[in-house]
Amino acid sequence: MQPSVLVTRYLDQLTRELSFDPELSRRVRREVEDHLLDAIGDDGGHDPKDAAAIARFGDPKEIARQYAPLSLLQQARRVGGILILAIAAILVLMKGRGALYELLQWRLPADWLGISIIGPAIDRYGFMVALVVGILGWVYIGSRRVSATLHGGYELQLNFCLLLSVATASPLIGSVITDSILSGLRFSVAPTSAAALIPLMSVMMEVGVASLIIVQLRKAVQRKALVSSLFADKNADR
Amino acid sequence: MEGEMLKGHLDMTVLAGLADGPAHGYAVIQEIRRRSGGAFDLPEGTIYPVLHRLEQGGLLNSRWTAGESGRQRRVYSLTRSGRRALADQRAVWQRFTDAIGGLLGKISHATVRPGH
Repeated sequence: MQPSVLVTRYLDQLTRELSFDPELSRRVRREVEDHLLDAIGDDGGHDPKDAAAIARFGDPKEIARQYAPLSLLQQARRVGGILILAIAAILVLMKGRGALYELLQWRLPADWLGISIIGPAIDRYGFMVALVVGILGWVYIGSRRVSATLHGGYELQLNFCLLLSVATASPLIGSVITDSILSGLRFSVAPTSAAALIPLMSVMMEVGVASLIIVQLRKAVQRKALVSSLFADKNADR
Repeated sequence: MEGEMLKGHLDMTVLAGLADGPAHGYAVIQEIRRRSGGAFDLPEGTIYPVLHRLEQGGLLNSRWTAGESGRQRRVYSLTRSGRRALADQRAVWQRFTDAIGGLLGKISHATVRPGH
């Protein structure tokens, strides 16, 4: 049995309202389509059956709103988890590269506007701040419980989760940028050899991890904005 | 009125709807309607966000299965934690209804005694 035009239109609208979470929207569409086809098949007295089944299912916007609290928390948890993994990966890459520089005796040029002193300090402290805030953020995000509604207190918690993620990502990305600059300086004075490929690849991986963090944070902000627009007319009515 | 009262107890209601075994969303709604004698008649779409939330909370499992019609459908079942949560909520609800029943019983007893 194929869904009617009316059911397809309804499913399209529900998918649009759930656009803040594309993965969820695909799953919900499949489930709701199955539900509506069952309901139409069971419906004895109503005509047209699809209109009655849709009316009983409810307003797509209202249904989408009920998914928002869980979706936003899942996104926050995902970003928190990725940040912790990113911190661990960057730590391993940094330590590995440091050991290799020592082994190859690749030093920073001493006469480069003091960057050889300030750079490593920015790199080290940026990473330490990211590590501490990241662990605190992860614990905070992990201890949040999903709410059935997007009330003020819950929204504050979600905003704080996002703030902690940004507060972790900023020094971490700063540390990666500094580290890349310092590595570039080392490469500039190091002898050309195949061994340079290892730290070069390591720096590229770090930059890749930093890019992944930026993408995830952007997704989290976008999702938050889409959910806010979903609630905009409801909040205006208050 | 029942609908408004039900909103505050949706999690328990959905868990109870799955107490007899795995079911898809539509069957859960039918079960809730049947067990409540048709008293609980919420918009059907309300059930799905609750199912997803309970699944994320570890109280339900779900998987896609092929239905009799050949359509793929998502079937939900209670986890061990879900069964425990349902038992806990049943006990709390029983204490609550006993207490309210006792209270209302006393009130109605008092009001049917004119002159006191």
